[in-house]
Amino acid sequence: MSGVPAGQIAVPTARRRLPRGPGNLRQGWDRLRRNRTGFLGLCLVTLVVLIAILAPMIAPYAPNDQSAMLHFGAQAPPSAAHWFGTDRSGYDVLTRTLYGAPTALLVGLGAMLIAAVIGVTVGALAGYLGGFADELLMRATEFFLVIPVFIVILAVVRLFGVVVIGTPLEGLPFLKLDAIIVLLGLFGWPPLARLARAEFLRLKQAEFVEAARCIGARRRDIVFRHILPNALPSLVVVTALGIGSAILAEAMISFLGFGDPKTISWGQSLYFNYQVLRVAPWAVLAPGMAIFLTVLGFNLLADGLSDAFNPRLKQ
Amino acid sequence: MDFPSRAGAVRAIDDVAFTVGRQETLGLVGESGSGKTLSSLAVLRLVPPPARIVAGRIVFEGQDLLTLNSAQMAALRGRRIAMVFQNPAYSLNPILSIGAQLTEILAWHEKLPRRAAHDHIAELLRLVGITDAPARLRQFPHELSGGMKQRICIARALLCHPALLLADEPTTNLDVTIQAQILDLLQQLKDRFATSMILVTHDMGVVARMADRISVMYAGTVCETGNAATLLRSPLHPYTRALLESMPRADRSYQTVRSLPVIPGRIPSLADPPAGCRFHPRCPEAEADCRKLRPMPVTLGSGHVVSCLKRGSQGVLA
Amino acid sequence: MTPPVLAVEHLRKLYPVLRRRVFGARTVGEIRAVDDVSFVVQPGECLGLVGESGCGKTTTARAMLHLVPPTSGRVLLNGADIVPILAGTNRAAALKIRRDVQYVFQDPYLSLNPRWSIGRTIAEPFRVHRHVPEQDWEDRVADLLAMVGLEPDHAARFPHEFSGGQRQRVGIARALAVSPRVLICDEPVSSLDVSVRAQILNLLVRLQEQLRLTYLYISHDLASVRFVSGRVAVMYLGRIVELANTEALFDHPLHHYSRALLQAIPVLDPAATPAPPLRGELPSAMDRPSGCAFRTRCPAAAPRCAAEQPVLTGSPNGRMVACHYPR
Repeated sequence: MSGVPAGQIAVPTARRRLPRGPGNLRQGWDRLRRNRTGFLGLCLVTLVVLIAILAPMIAPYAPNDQSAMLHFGAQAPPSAAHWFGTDRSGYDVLTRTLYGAPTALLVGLGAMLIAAVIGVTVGALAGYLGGFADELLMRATEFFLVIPVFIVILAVVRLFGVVVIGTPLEGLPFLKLDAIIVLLGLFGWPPLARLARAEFLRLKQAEFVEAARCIGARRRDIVFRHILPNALPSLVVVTALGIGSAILAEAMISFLGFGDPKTISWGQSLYFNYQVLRVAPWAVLAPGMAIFLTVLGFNLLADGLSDAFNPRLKQ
Repeated sequence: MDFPSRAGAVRAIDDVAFTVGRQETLGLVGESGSGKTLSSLAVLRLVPPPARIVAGRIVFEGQDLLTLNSAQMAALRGRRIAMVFQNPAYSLNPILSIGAQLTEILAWHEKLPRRAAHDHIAELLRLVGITDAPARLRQFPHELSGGMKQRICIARALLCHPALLLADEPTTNLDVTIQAQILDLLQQLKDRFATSMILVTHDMGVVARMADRISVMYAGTVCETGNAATLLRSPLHPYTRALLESMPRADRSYQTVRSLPVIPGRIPSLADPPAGCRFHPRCPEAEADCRKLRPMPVTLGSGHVVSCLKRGSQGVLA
Repeated sequence: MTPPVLAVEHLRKLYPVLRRRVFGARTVGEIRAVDDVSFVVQPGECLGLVGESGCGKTTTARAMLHLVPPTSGRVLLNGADIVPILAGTNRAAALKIRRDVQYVFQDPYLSLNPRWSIGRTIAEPFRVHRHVPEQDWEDRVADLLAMVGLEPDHAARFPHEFSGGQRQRVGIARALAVSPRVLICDEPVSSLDVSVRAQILNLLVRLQEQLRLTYLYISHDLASVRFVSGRVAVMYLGRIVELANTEALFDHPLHHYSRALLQAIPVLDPAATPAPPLRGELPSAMDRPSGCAFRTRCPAAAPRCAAEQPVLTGSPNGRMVACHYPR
């Protein structure tokens, strides 16, 4: 028998109908709306998500359309036909920028999903079990923190790219991008683990957890019904921040030339068009601004969420 | 004193007045939200922002403290007016040794040479009941017990022989036997140094023991002020009376009851105080006027001041 | 003679003091948080457990319910030792015990899950114990809320919307949800404002009469203990030093520590001269004085007190004191 959902009591038979106040989620949403920076962050993120979903419909050209070469030419400044101009290879900058959104979101969400699953599990186990398990898991976490992540990712991506040559894997679309996402996730979990551990340690001793134990709740109940929901707010905040970092990291990797040339990403656009910065700055400006706004959006949202889901904060 | 908030300014304390004579101890009694701590912080002008003092005067030794600039105020703090806080663990710097913290104050205010400062501190530590002063001076706060830390804080407050000592719940966090020691100590030192004291607490027993006069505060206003013995024996304000009756007592003379008389309801939020008299929603004697008019303090015999319409106060529309 | 509903026999809780090394740690001492505590509680009575910080009263209560595992000793509920059951793997048996004995926590702000509505918090025991069918939960929660003096309509609200006193009532309602016979109240009013304490104390007394509960009431505040309890046990550094009927203890304490404790309470009469305070400080838990732990502060200490530890003697339902030279 599963527990009743948060904020509600099981619907009774005829006798009593108790008025329902706003639930926890609703109250959090109200708080988020009132927090200006958080709301701005939410708007930015929603914008990016919408663009990612609707890109094929709103983009003026196909992403690989190089027909501009025939009339405006490559590196043409913004004009009525090409709102953001064309880039070094004659692609429409606006289109490439719009199509970069789903890639960015895929990277951000994908990497953080992997990081969150690993990080929260490791941290929760370490925090809740304590003792030797804690020591072991924390040493592993520190190991991953000590590695120069970026360099390792670059090396692995390059190596991976070399290794798959000649194998059936080579033909798979988005292979390199997936490799980047997985690597970002595999190296992005330590901060989440640390936070999850801290939260579990703190909550393990909370009086309401003791009260639950006193009632007779099982360990599994305590972890999933009491500790985890209370740890979730801070974990969500850090994850939101992590999404921004992952997007930025992919941009950097691509900018350095280690990215996946077959995908359309903002970092890739920067990489391609960097050389023509002087003559066609719009080709770099557009993806650059896109990265900036997206990462900003996630950061502001994280800020807002942090305030919104803490019912104890006094104004 | 106001706190800005989303819904407009919250008036934390409103029209609070009290006086402390020479060598007198004033007990400032109230529960949470009564404004007693803010009032005492206001004397030192240490009110934490965003709260601001918006009106009134604080006259100390003939001078209105609200007219002083920050340099002048800093010269007063610690030297003429000193404070002992509730939690000694938080009011001592954890990374400095006790000796360092105490000499710092003397260096700042009195500019004593090292040797003289050292002797002065040692003497004061002896007076507060700390025996092995040299060893203690080298120790750090976390190595000392709660009672010991509070003694150090008291010594620190008395270093420059201030004229006024503010004590904010100095014994609330201490065990009852240690509390007795500390209260005893405060009494002795007060007599020895001829210091005036404002003792802020929620514990009626503590003010009964220590205070010459008592001011009872509720929800940011003063209900009643008077001589300690008179006030405790025959309280005039309904809040004081109800509070005293609702407290279970441990003294022998008190007959245990089956059920304690209760003050119904709860302490009002300062953001939305009741109109008229702040206590009226919970007052057993409340009448129609109490809902509309705010009682002004009226002085009855022997210096007893009460703010209650039923005891003779004038009311103002509020 | 009715058997006691609760009996604690030689309960001990020791915390080893470790010095950490690179691999593992070495035990260099021990803290005896609860040192051979024994008492009985008759059905329907309220036993108060009194003492200052470090005396072990809260640890005793927690150990009784296995919230911290006791090092040794027995806890008898209606004659059966519950320590091995609560420590063991038979969940059904353990749950049955948890239905009989419940705990009211001290801090009203931390003892409720901030993300759960109070209705859900109170209904949680129903979910765990399954002794109430789900369609009746909402009604039972409403009944419990009414019993503790709260509005049944407020069941869907969250803890932060309530005051400290109200939250404490929710905690009591939760404890009563399983219809226990024994309630252990751990400093239930210490975190509350003075004007609210009376409300909660009255509630506890009324509930005891109404539901015929047995209480173990833990506090450092002697005044509230006096109001609620019929008998009182005074603890010092992990041991019970005196056990007596409340009025007898307040009238004439036999142990020197009990006397010091009573004298230290500030009296409401300004004209009364306060007694000289107890000298000295609580000894460090790791460095207990030999013999009687109180001898370093006791006005009547004699050589025998350093050599021999006094044992709690007297009659179990009358007065007991652990002192070589009681007053």
